[in-house]
Amino acid sequence: MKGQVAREEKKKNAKNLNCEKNVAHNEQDLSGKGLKPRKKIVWDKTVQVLQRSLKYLVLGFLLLMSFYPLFMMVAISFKTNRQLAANPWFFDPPNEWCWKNWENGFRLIFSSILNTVFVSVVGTILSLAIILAASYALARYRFPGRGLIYALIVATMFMPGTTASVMNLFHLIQQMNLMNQLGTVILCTSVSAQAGAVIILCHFIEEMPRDAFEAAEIDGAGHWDQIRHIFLPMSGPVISTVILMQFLHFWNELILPWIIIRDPALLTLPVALAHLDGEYVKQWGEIMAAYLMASLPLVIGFLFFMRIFMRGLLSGTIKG
Amino acid sequence: MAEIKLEHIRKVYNGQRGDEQLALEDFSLTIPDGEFVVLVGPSGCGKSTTLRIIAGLEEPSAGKVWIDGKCANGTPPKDRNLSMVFQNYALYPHMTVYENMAFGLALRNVPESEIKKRITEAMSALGLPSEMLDRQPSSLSGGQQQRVAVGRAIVRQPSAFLFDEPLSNLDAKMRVQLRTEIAKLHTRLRTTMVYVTHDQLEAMTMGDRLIVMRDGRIQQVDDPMSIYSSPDNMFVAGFIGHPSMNFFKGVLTAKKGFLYFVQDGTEQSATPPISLRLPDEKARAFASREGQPIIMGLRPEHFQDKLYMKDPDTESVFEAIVEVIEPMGSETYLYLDVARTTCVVRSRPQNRVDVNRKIEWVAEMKNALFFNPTSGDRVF
Repeated sequence: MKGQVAREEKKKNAKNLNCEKNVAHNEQDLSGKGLKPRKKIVWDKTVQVLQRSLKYLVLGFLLLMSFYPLFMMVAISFKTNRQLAANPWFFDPPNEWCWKNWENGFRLIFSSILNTVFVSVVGTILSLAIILAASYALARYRFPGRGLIYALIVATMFMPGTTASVMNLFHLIQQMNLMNQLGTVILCTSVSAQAGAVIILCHFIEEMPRDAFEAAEIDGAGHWDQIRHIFLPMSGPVISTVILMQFLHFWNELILPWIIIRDPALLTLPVALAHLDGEYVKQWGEIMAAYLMASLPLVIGFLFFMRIFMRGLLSGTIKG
Repeated sequence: MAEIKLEHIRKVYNGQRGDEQLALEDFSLTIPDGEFVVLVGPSGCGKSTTLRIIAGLEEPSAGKVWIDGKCANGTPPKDRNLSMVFQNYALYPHMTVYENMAFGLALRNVPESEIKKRITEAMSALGLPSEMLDRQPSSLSGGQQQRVAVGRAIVRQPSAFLFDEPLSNLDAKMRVQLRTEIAKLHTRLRTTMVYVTHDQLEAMTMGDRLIVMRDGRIQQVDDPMSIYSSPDNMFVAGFIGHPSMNFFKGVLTAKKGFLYFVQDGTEQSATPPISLRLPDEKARAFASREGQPIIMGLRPEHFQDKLYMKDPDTESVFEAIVEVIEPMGSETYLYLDVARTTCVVRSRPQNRVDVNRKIEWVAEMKNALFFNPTSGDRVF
């Protein structure tokens, strides 16, 4: 043991010696250039510290700009309007927190959370079915008019979308007696904004080995079997991205449900939140609590589902 | 078990620029039940297209496909009850070996116990260990993957097997091994097999019958040895057999009451153009063609070194210069310069020769084949 300690000490000493040598070497070099060494080192360090603090200052400012509003949302959600006026920037002492805001906020938007979950889940499934079928057919088969159909789908990407067609759509929905129904929201939203997903999946399928599909076809798989057993498992990552895109699209859709839904009990979240903006006195605390609650399902959902998505995604890639 | 019949099949592909590409033209063929047929030809000759049309992966532009006496035009592949083995295995990468093999059976609602039984049988028939069943295809070697693919085809118990160049992606040793295994499989199952390859060696060794194709047309249909010994035209003669048949351009000339094949040649060549006497029966048949240009074909094994012959026919002797020597072990290929025409001969490995040496050879004229120089068809 003793020997070992001694040896280690020797090593340390040797290291220190080396360091000293290096320093000495540096000093010699510097003095060779005619600079006073100690001052130079101090100056370098100051510049370094200044640079670093500037960097963190900018980063800190950016972070503050992004997160302070969120922080304020949380803070305001526990304030009455009077408390807000008195102290808008920070939390009040916990014993003054107004929990009623959360209660009222929950009451205000609970039904619309359910509505939105319903619309988003059903809509994503429907939309995915359309996307899968369209991209599978377009990518796998050469049929007359294929090029034209593909071009038309691409063309829809460059059109202004719902905003431009809102009047016509409104008349159409009204004449078909489809107003004020969640189903109409699902239907109208699921037939828009799929072009991007179709194009992505089309290219993805075209890149997939054609033999696998053909082998399945000969093995007795129909189109549905090929989609289910070959296409879906082999395209996990892309499909999960498409699901994410579609789900967010449904969750955030504002204009369509706004013009279609009249019944307050059927409102979806974006519209309900917009309505919260108050007709008479704005209850800021309630509004903020509602906003926070509205974003919670999505956050929780993705924290939970992303893991499953990632698992599917990884299994797809590693096994492939 | 099924008879496959193709009637006047024509297939045209439409190119991207609107141009048409002819893949098959007037292709008619009957494959009797239980036969092992090999479609062979250079790439782009339409052999894979033919197979895909039988499988139903492509629809013919014209003509009819009959499988088991029923017209299969318009029948989707899944309803044809055929199995296909692809060049790049086409295993489902996300499924285990077991799932790969069971896929087709599960789709046909075969009970689980039966699936298990068939897979176990197939695995042992192909010499695959049962531990492999739980592995992913990507963890197997090429040869193993192709065995699994063959296994996937067997377990379905189809009415016919289709093979699309199944051995092309494997290394040489594995290719030979699997070749014999597929041949054995056919002997055991006696199911109709259609096998596509560009490798004439595979074609020769495996098939009951060869279909030699070129540019979308059938060139010749016959059993391997007949195709080898009496090819219908220059293309078949040159394509089947390795090394290829040697062709000499020349003229039939009468000399001293006999008919000779005299090679076209130039004065500058190091050896004189060959002049070989035709055997009597050939001479009789060609009497009317005297003075006409003709192409003579001789296989590499139809030459003998004069030195080693006891009683050579002096009218069949010619001189040639050795250009390249390729020792194969059991035999040696010599590339000769015969009046500016390259000619390959098979020679015994004991036959020690040097490059650039002039050697006298004897051509076995009774085996010579003659072709029309314009059409390429065999004239005798």
